Amino acid sequence: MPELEQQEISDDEIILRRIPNQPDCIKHRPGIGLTATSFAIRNLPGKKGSSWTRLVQTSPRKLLDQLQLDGISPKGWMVCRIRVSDVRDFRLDVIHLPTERDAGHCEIRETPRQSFSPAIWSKLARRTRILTAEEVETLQAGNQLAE
Amino acid sequence: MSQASAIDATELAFFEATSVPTTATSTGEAWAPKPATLALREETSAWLSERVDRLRRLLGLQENWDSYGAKPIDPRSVEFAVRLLTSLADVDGIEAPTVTASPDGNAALCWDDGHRSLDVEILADGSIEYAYLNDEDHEGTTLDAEDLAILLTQS
Repeated sequence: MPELEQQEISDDEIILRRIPNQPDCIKHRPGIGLTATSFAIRNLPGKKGSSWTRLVQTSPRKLLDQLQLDGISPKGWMVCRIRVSDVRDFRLDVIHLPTERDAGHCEIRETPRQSFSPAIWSKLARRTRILTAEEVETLQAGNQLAE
Repeated sequence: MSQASAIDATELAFFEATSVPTTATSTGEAWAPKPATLALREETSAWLSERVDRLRRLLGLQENWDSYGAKPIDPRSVEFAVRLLTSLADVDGIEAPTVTASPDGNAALCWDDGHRSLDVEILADGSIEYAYLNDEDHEGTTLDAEDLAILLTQS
């Protein structure tokens, strides 16, 4: 299937991740704004990376609607974003790993130059931003986001 | 057995024996020099009981609560987190943290004042993993609540 072909991800892309409606997975940071907590974006132990999706292929609304495939109501869930260049600034990488459920699925991965650590997740979390409810409803796959 | 009732008397005895220090003036070896004392509040912080309630509610999180495969929260982690938070609430200048959970199934606490942040994960064995971002970033593991109190109150 063409849409499952792995693609290179450019630095200026935005990637998205679902944020649960409980517990408190978002944090208002003075001078920064509303972000994800570092714990909301970490990978599971034993997994190679943290799952995200590419905005060029998957809209935030579609990302939330995927919850229903697991019988979960998307009500109250949020979406956070981060720019790929911000991930790569910390010497991590973003790899496109499309699935049948989500053609835009990708993972933040370690590199030979940078392993996952609590401090790295904390630094990444400060670069995230929680999308507004309007952005979730109106952003389409392929849209650009201002800083 | 539900998670909330998974702690039996034997485990509680374990908590008593191995819990993190419950006073902010405890002494001991640590990774950094400590001040002689931390300033203690005359009364425990008003935010404590509400944040403890939030910690206990973590036990209601089901498998895959984040939709990415997160584990249910270990009751031992929550109990250690309650003890840690109770200790920190006695220290003057420490604000209420964000109470959350890690995908590994542990209770977690976050502070961020815009200039520095401290993210803390309380493991089921009582150890505390933390990441502190400031002018000089560092991370580590401790068993001592005082280490965190110093980070949160140093100017």
